[in-house]
Amino acid sequence: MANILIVDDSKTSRKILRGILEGAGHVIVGEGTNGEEAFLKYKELKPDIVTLDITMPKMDGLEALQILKKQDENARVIMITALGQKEKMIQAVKFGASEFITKPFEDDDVLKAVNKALEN
Amino acid sequence: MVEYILGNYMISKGIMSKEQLDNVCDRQDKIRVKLGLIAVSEGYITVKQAEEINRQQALCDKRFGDIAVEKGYITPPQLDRILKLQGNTYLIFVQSLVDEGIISIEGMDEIMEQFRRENGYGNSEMEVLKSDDVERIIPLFLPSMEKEIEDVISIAVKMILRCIDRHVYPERAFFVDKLSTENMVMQTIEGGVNMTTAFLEESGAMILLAGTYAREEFSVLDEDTLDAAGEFLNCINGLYTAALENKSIATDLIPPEYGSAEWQLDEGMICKLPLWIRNKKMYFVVIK
Repeated sequence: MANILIVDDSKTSRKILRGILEGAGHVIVGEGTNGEEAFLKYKELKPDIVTLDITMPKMDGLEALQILKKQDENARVIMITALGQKEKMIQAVKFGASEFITKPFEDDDVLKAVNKALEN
Repeated sequence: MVEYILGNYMISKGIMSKEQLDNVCDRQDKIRVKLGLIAVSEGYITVKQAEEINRQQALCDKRFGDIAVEKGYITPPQLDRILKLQGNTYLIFVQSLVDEGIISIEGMDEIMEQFRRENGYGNSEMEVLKSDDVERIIPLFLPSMEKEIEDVISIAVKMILRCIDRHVYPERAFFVDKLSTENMVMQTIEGGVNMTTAFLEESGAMILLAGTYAREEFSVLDEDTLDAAGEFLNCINGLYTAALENKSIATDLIPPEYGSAEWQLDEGMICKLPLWIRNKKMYFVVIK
């Protein structure tokens, strides 16, 4: 079981993810609503995994991912994205993203991504 | 979908009541078996494979049977067989109406002819309607327009059918040159294709859609409801932009916005598609 920080500007997405992850026994240690909160809360809460939405206002997920990885190169970050964002996904891999979850959320896919990230 | 299109036409002609249509459709729900279940019971695929196809369906714009064939789980003749076993929605609908004493077979023929004439359809369009194939039905409800708008509308309706509710049907889409509203969620696509898509609430369908997507019950159109509807809109646009990517057209999705909006276009078009979900109405809007 993992301690997870969820970062997404959408309350709906945070709520659905929380439900799926808590249902599988994971602990949600915190939530953030933009890229800046991602690295501030990561520093404070030291989660095992961060789920990070790519498309967010203010600071998007890609920028936050780069800062997070500078803060901790071992940070496990799962990127959340809609389909049709191939370019951004390629960039996220370059910046060190561990896994991807595509919306709409499927419980199995979310849990598989978390398990894979933990294995790495 | 065909049962609602024809059923509502029959209601407008005073042939049946809304309650009768709801009863017939509810009964059809009980009779109609999902394609995946038939394929499993026929021993063509495993439950795990059916679930895998269902998951993939949410991520690509393809039908269950087509994915199953593509993956090599079933052969084209096996697909034909399970489609036959599933039955034709139009025929089941007509049978239900006759069984309920709502209309005779001859009466139904007359109504279909009247429907055909009033809508200016030919025989081929009527065959499309009777096929209940959403992919082919949607263009019947769209005025002549750019292919890109037609594609995103088609994906939106199919996503609502797959992920939200199968009790969905469209009315004819139309163009307006200005739009001013308060109850809207919208998202802009930028890049090789530039357009904005939106949901516009009319009588509760957006609340229903948002609740089903968010896995909770909403009763009013507040910030949470609009946020959930915006996330579902993001999924539709994601599927559309993924299809564009396959044609080497790069685009970017801007985060969804919600609230009030006003458009007055000098160039371009605003297309509004009325959509009914369980007797509640909303619009899917494309601004390009």
